[in-house]
This record gives sequence, C-alpha cells and structure tokens, in this order.
Amino acid sequence: MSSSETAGSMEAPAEDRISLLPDCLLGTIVSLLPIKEAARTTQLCRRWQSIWPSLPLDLDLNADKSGIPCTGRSISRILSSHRPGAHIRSFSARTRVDETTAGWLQALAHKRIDGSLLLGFAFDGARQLLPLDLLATWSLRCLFLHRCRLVDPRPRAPLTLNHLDSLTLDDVKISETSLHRIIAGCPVLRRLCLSRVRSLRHLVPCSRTLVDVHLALHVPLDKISFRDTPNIDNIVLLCVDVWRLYPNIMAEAGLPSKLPTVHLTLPMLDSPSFAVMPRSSIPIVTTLILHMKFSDCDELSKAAGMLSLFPSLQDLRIWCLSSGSKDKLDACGPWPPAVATTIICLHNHLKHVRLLGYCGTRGEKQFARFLMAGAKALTGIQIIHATNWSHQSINNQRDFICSRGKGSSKAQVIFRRSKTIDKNRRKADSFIRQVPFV
Amino acid sequence: MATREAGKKMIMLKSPDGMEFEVEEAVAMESQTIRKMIEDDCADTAILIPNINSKILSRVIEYCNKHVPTTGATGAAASDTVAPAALAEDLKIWDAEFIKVNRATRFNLIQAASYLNIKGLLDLTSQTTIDTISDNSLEEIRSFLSTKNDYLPEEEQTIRRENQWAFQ
Repeated sequence: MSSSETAGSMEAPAEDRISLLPDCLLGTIVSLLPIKEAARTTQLCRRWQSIWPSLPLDLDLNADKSGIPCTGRSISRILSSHRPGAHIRSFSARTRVDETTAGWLQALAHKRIDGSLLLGFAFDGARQLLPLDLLATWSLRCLFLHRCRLVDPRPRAPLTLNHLDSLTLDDVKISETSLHRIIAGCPVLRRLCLSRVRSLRHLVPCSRTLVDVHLALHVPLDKISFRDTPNIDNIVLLCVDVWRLYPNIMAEAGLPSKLPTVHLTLPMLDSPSFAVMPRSSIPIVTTLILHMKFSDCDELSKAAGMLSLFPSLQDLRIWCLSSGSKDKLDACGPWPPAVATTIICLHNHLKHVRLLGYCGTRGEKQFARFLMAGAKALTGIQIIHATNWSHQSINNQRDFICSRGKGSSKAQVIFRRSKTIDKNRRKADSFIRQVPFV
Repeated sequence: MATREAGKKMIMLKSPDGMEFEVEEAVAMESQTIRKMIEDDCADTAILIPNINSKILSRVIEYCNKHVPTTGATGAAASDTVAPAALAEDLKIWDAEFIKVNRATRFNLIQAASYLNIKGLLDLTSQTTIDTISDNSLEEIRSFLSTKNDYLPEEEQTIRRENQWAFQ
C-alpha cells in the first residue's frame, strides 16, 4: 500500500483512512463521481452500501458521458436503486414512450424532486399523458416538458407550484385553462417558454413575478396580453409571425407601462415566408435577429427593407450563413444603389450591430458598410469571426466598411475571433432551415 | 486575541498542540465555522481549533490566505486590475500544487475542511480523492481504501442485481 505513496512522510500510515471519515463526508466524495461509478461503490462493503442511495440524485441521462442507455428500463432501475426517502435534485431524460413509462413515472411520483425536472418523449409513438397534479407533488424550481400531453383531472382543486421559477413547454398539448391555471399557481415564476403549443389561442398570463417570456414556432395566438404581468422585462419571439400578431393581437396596449425589450428572430430572407415582403411596420421590436446568406444584391435590399419595418430597433444581430461557394458570393454587384432610402431605426435608435460568423465576403462587407454609413446613433459593429486573419487583413476590411463614411462619429468596427462561433453558426443554420414559418 | 495591525483586524487561532496563528479576520472567515463564531462574538480571545494539529492548520490557513477575496490598502478589489479568468486559472494551478500531499495529510485536510466548513477546500480534497479512485475496479478501490469485502456471497449477488445498470 505504502509503495504507491507519492509524497510519503513519516506519519503516513500504511493504509488510507478515508473509510474512517463520517458518512456525510463519504457522501460528499461519492457525489462527485459520475453516477455509474457512484452507484458501484455500493458494492465495496456494507459500510458503503447505503452511502450512494441516500445522496440527492442528479440524473442526466442525456449527458454524453452518462454511459447509460436512455431507456425507460434504465430509468426504472436507477430509481429503484435509489433510496425511497432520498430526494432528487435534478432529473433529465428524453426517452420513448413504452411499456415501462407508466411504471417509472409512478416511481418518480413517489420521489421528492426539489430542483429541476426535464422530461422529453421521442417524436414517434404515443403522447404520454401527465396529470397536472403530479407536477404539484414535487417542489420543482425548473420544469421542462417536451412532447407530452398535460391533463387536468381535477380542474377545480387548488394547484400550486410554490418554487417554480422557470417553465418550458415544447410541443405539449395543454388546454388554455390549464396553462393559465399553472401560471397563476406559481408565486415565483420568472420565466415562461412556449414552443409549438399548437392549441394555444389566448395567452393572458397573470403573474407579478414573470419577467421573461419566450414564444417560439407554431404558437397560433389570436389574443395575447401582458397587462397582468407588470414586471415583464423581456419578450422573445422566435420565428413567430409578428405581422399577424401586431397590432391586433399584441399591441402597445397589451404591454405594461414600462415597455419590455422585444427580441424577434426571423427565418432566412430568401425563404418562402418572405416571397412577398411584409409592409407594415412593427414598432414594438427592439432587437432583431436575422439569418442571411449575403448571396446577392436582392437579399441585401430585402434586409434593408426589413430594417425599415422596425422603427424602434436598437440592436441588430445577423447570423452570416454565407458558407457556400465563395465565388458566387463575391460576385455580388455594387450595393447599395445610389438612391438613399429612409430607414427610421438607422436615424434614431440602432446602437449595436453584431455580425455573427462573419466570413469576409463582399456581401457582408457591403452590408456592414451600408449600416456604418447610415446609422446615426451607432456605437459599434461587432464582427465575430472564426478566421485567423492578419492585422493587415483586418485593417483592410475595416477600411472597406468605413469607406463611405460613418453615420455616427462614435461608431467603431470591432473584430473579435471566436473559437466557438463556427459551431454556433452551424447550429443556427440547421435550426433556421428546419423552421416552418407561418 | 483580536488585535489591530495595519488597520486590519486580526484573529488568533490556536491548535491543540499549543501553536498560535495570528491571521486576518477576513482570512479566518473563509471558514464558515469561524465566521459564525466571530459573528456571534465568541471570538474575543484566541479561538481553539480542536482536532486539527498545527501542521494541518497552517496548511488550511495557507489555503484561506490564497482564496480570500483580496482587497488592497485602498479597499479596491484586486480583481479590478487582473482579469477574473486569469485569476481563476492562477488559483487552479495553485490548488493543484497545494493538494500534492500524501494521503494522510489529504485525509486530515478533508476532516479540517469539513469541521471548519470551507467549501472550496472540501471540494478540492474530495475531488482529488475521486480522481484517485475513479476508473478503477472495485478490487482496486477496496485495496486503495483498505476495506474488506464483508458481504456474504448471496448479499453481494443481490446488491449487484439491484444496481445492475451501473455494471453494464
């Protein structure tokens, strides 16, 4: 034993004394092990048998490193290995609905979960039913449900989720009444994310604590109002048809007196959604996220036209998805045409521009030059790129972008190289291509 | 004895083998246990730290000295001038050096970190222990921990069956 000692000293005993530590300290040590190895320590000796099963469980079956197949069978087994009284701190599993599902959901219902719960079900197969009151049996802080159906067996019974801070429903079937009942039953809810909740027509949340609302993809609303959420600070609209929502469904009148920031992400400008460009202007949007290929002058003009529809825009982010054949992109003709267009946000509010995943194509540079020359309140264009350009090359690009002057004397062009931007750009690209816009 | 030196409040810590350590209050308060004593006004004379010998206590103080949020004479946080990421990286390297000790010392440090309730030190010492037992077979871990398999064969079978998912 002592032969393996690396920094031996006179008082080092021949054995390790870790087993002399009290159970709670052994627990601290075991809790740092990956779940599989932690569970294996039960096999060491009697003393260790109860250490892992009594620890709070952190189970993430979707983690790459868990090494456990994400099946109902594994979930059932893990839950039965864990001691009945011990609580669950986080539980995350995306799996298929099969004959084991009812069983492990039942087991989960008997556990105390006082952290976060993520339950997702596979795209094919039946939609799992989840009774609403099941959610209230846990003291969840964070709840994420994907592709299931929430049913309310006792609609009149009181429902409270005292600790719930964040609620995300993605592709979940739920009635409007049930959704509003959940929101009203959460005294500390701060964040609400709804995506592909196809049955939702009316959204009028009532919550004093709600600050952050995300609406994504198919949320076919006919009515939306944030009058009863006085502290709302941030509304994020991800590929939501804002032209249909505004002004009849979501107007300034539906917003609290202190206006929140409104983020809007739009699909590709050359997608069928924009075969006919919208005309009406949307003054509530403060941050716009575009996806562009910078392939031809037509697209650049479309983008400029789009900017003219958002008179209150302060922040513009563009994902540069121009990773195609570079020759074609560089063949982009002179742009913009000499005729000056009036774009209100350029005159008034637009302060920050970010080009994400910039590759230095002609189209990108021309569009940046157009913003630089026209935006009167601009503080900076941040260019996030993956290429390792020389100082000289960056200076040349900066000179080009500023070659038609600066609309604002304060405006700067800042190049920043990022190692992760390529990965994120690919993600944004594959996401936006899948998006069916209304 | 709580004294004042160069404007900083000092605290006297005493180990059971009779050694005394004068440390800044802020450093001593890295320990939640000592912080509680100070806040409850139980620290007007020297604080006796039972069960932790002077050798271990001096190492613990060394750790706290390094990890206390540094404030200059003007009261401005040092992290204003050094990038936080660089500071964290520096601490990581320091920690890795600090924990290069024999197992007996590490064992004592775990105990001390637990008694004095110093989360960072407890995490560091536990993680180091984990690193040595992780990826080993049960037999290797048993030999490392000097524990004997005291299960009856049938008990061992049952436990293995119950946790089968962990052995696949």
